[in-house]
Amino acid sequence: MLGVTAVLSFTGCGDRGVTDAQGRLVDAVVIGETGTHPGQFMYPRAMDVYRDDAGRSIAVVIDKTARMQAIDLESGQMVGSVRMPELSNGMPTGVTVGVSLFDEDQYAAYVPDTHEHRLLVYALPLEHGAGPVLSFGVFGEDEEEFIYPTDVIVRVGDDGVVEELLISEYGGNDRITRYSIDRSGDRGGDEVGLVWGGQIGTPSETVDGSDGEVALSRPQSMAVWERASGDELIVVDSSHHRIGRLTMEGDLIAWYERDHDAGFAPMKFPYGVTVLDDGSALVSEFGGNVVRRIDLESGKTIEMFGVGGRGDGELATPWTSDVIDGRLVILDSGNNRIQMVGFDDASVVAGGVN
Amino acid sequence: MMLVLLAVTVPLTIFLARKSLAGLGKSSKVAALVIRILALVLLVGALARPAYRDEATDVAVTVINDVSRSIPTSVQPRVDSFVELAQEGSRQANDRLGVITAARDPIVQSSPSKFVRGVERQFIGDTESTNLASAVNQAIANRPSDAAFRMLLVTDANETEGSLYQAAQQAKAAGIPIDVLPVEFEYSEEIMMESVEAPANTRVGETIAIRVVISSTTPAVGRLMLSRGGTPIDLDPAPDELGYYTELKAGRNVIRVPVAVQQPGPQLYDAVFEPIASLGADGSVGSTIGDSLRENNNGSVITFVGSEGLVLVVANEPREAVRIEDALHAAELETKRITPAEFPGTLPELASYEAVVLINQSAYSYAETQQEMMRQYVHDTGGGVVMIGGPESFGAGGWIGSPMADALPIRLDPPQKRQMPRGALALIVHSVEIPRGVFYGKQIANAAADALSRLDLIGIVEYQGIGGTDWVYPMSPVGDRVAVRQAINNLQFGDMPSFDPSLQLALNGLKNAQAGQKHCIVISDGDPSMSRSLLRQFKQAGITISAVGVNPHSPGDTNTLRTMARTTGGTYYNVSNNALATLPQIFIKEAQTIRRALIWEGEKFAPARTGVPTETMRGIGGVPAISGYVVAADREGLSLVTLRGKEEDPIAAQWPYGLGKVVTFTSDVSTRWASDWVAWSGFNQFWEQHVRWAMRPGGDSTLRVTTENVGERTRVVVEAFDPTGERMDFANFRARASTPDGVGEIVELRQVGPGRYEGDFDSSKPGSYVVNMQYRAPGEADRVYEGSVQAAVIRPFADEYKSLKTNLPLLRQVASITGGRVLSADPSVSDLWTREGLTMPVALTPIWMLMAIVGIGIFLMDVAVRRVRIDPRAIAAFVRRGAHKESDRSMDATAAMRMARTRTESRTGDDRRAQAGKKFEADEQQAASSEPVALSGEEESGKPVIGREKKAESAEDETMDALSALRAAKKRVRDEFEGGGD
Repeated sequence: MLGVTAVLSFTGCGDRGVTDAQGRLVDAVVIGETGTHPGQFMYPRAMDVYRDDAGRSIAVVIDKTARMQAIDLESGQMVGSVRMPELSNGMPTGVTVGVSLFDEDQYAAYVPDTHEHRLLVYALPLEHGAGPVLSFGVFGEDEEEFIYPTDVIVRVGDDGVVEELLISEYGGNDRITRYSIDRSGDRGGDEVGLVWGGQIGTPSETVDGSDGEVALSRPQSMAVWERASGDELIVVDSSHHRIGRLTMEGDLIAWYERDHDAGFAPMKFPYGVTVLDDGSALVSEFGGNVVRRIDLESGKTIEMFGVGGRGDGELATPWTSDVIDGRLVILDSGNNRIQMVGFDDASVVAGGVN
Repeated sequence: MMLVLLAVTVPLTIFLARKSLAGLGKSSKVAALVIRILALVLLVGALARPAYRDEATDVAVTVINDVSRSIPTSVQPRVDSFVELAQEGSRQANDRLGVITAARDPIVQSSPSKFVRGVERQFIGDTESTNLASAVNQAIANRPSDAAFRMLLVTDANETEGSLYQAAQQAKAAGIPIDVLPVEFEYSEEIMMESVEAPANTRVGETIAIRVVISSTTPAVGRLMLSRGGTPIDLDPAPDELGYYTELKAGRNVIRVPVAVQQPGPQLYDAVFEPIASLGADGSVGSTIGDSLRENNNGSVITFVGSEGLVLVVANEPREAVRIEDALHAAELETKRITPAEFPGTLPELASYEAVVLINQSAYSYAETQQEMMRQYVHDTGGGVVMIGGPESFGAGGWIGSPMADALPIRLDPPQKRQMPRGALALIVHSVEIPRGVFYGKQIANAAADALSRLDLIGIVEYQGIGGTDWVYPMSPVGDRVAVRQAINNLQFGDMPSFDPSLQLALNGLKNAQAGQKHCIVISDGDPSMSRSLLRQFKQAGITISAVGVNPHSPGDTNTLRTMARTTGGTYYNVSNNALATLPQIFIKEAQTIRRALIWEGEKFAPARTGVPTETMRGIGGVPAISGYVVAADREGLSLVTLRGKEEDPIAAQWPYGLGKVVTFTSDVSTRWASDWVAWSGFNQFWEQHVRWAMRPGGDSTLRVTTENVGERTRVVVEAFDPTGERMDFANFRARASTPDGVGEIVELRQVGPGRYEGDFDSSKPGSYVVNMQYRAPGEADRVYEGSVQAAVIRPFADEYKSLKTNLPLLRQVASITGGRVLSADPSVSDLWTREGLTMPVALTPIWMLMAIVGIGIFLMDVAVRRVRIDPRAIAAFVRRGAHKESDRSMDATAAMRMARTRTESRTGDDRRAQAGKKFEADEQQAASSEPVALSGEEESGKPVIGREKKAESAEDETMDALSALRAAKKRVRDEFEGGGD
């Protein structure tokens, strides 16, 4: 019996297919390693995934060398890269792949250039050395100004044309600002303009949220939950360790606080959020070293992926995650790599462009 | 050994099996035997500790790229091109390339990786020297364990530090070949100032000859400029311009410049040669000259101009120094008073003073290099330091842990026995996003820890990523600093999302700390979020926060940190990349805020004389009262305490340190703590005796010192004359050279002729060297001549610029030693990835555990074969029914197995009875129970079973299971044995 037990313990028994009993990702595919060469990362802090015209699954990753690399998730090879034009103050901490502002048949990478206080837009696929096609915003706390922009939502109309951008930021002016797209031609040529459309949320330093205000402290990322009853804005309120459900107009529906689900570990510095089309969302916890899948309706945790560590299947300060081709793709920032595992339900896909 | 074991155990197993397996059918017996032997082989095999052998197939190459200044920058693109083109060779998909740049420090640009395709030079550090050995050692340490490894050394092999030859020996020992790619270059037109020489010491009014030695590869004309202490000297009054036009011939040129000496003290002469044009063979002047390296066109020399008894007095304000200056002047000692900002920056300059008096000076007024220079001034040049107290001095002034603390005759930590209020410091460290940020961060944290006293409390909080926010060093006494240093070394400088958890931890820790002064220091780039309510809690608790902003990303970050400091009453420091050197000083100053507890102030009392007979206290019976001092502790060794305060605290102490002497006085010399002293009649005598004792001895003899650089060493020649003008023989010298690295070196001076002494020392590092020579010689009529003399040597530029061509012999030697190759610059014929000459590493994975587990599993099968009967007929019948009878499909497997088992048990019972009938007689009382047996000793009803009523054997025994039958048979055998048998 001892021998049988030993054999079982060696082969390992997990209660799930994706994670083992300790929570490690099982048979995780590791892409990238520490370094500054193509395909390597130095503290990557932004990622989004999409499928390019050639049908390849591509992860757009920005690391602390200010490089935005397009990584083929099949081969792990870098297939395109650009470097941010300015990096003296710091580097971006977010990227969103969405429909291009200029051509509804093309994708673009929307880069909140966090420490340069602006939004940059790059055409996709990335061409080596190409510059941004749009730069918007300066440092400040007013309209068309940002402190530290973190994430962008690209809202597309029924005709497939970009109608609105939502941009989150922190740094003392924690809020979500919205800009509609002006294509009137007033700016000459094919230029588009971003027109101030108000803001959602207030820095928690100025309001305590007791009257239902959306008091934010480091809204690190956002996503839209598309519902028949009306779309909702899901926002990660990182320093408050909570997830917010808002109407698209900015009214609070619910906060899912850090200890919302007592059956699971409290949420700790959630950074990334990706809404899946089954009404769940992936929440990447920078502080918890885990990716949590929650039910957006109830806020209850469905499952947890990963455990803190440096080995394969373990995570260190994951910044964001996504799903593509039935695989869960996690930006394992502290380990300078991407990890992928087969997702439980291959029919579930992430919202957005992929 | 294992084969022998098998040879013994296998036949033994077969022999034993003949009896133990006798009851089995033939096929079962064979199967059981085979399984048993297999299990035996596996278990015996496991004892041999077998391992799985996996040989690597990949190759890793680390390119060591010499980026020091001796290599022209135009060479580096050629290196890049070579490495990139070399990818086209036989590199395979998983072969790895790594890059290390070598200059003063090796920097790993890329660890060996299949992703790396070329050379990057992101941060290369100081390029003023070359240490190839450390780069080779770094590459050895960084090599992958699962690939064959070689290095490619791209260099001119002109090393200024370390030994490449020794590193090659280590690579050879590790089986690593080093291929070399010599960087070929030659400076066709180069002018280099080899040396500037002057008499080491002279007197005011004399004229000395400055000797400038310049070598040139080509005839040239240029202008020689000379300055003294930064002021240009007009060498040639004829032209309007300063400087001296001179022609250089190809080769070595010596230019002598006479200079009149008019002021006492050290005189620093700087010479610069500015080439103007080359000269043709016929003497015609060309238009330009291509001097490749301008860094080696200058040189310096120092001459000591003699003066008697010059004492440097350092004070923040004149009123603090005026009384002691008066006392020294009355003793005919010359003084020069300065503020800390004017403190000498070089050791030769400092060494020109016979003693230095520091009045109420704090450590943060001096760079760490200056503090180290003070220590060398005493230890190596024989100077004297008199450190006088005040609120900013000693332990309260941040000198704890400083280089100068080693030179003091007292310990700056309070004594063990003293019960004193102590300070508590919490450090919060956040990621420092600058090159070598972690290095600087650790330097800062160490500086803060060093500046605290042993009894103070320190705690360090950081965000560790996986571990979250936590104390990496919980709030606890500094003690011997071993544990806190270890914690600092392990700091990760994680990127904390919010200050709040860290501030909350620090606040809780400081609140609970039993301390008088409580302070928090935050070092950050300022981008984490922060709650102001926490800051208000700090303020309410009386805890100040000082924030150090290292390269803040934006005005917002600066504002966050500034708010932190302003709200709590602390200080904000903004540090940019180029001001990193000031960071440790900031922390020393900050740490000082919690060390006010080291100051004792109270009712006046007169320090007690210890009665130790010293020259400093000669003729002084008692001293006036003081009302304050800085608490310190006695020091073991040669330290003598002459005055003591409360609880035996040392007030005045002295000791010799190296060649020099140090005096400490922990009270002050002003009306603040020593108002009675200022009016004391013995004041002048007290301080004259203390300062004179500490001063470097002058002596009446005349010593002429000359120095000469010979390769990497400097020769010192002393011509000694006694006061009568006769050559001084048989002098005993204690000489020591202070070196730029602060280590110092003893200089052996030997007499080589009448009154002539020579010695030498290593002067290979660029910087200033001061040689102090104390002598003692026998004179006439039992007289003894004593005194000292100094000389200074300056190595103005690094040896990096001295070698003007590639050191090919060394490179060939390195390749030869390690089995490497000397590669051609043509990448098409230099295959970096060839497997030839490489030893593929083999990974051995132990599999004994696996074999043992399988062996145990097979052993269990052996039991199963003997105990479980398989009825082929029943199985066949079951299969047939399953195949042909639809109704039988409903029969489940359990029922079929139950039937098979019943048949097996029936047959086994028959066999057993037949056997037992031959050998044993059945015991009528022995029968298998049909009742269930609780293995726990309880009946199923739950009642404990003490004795069980046995049932009589009946006709239903046919169904007795095999286990019960076996138990009955054993019982019978035991009864037979005990009864002697029938």
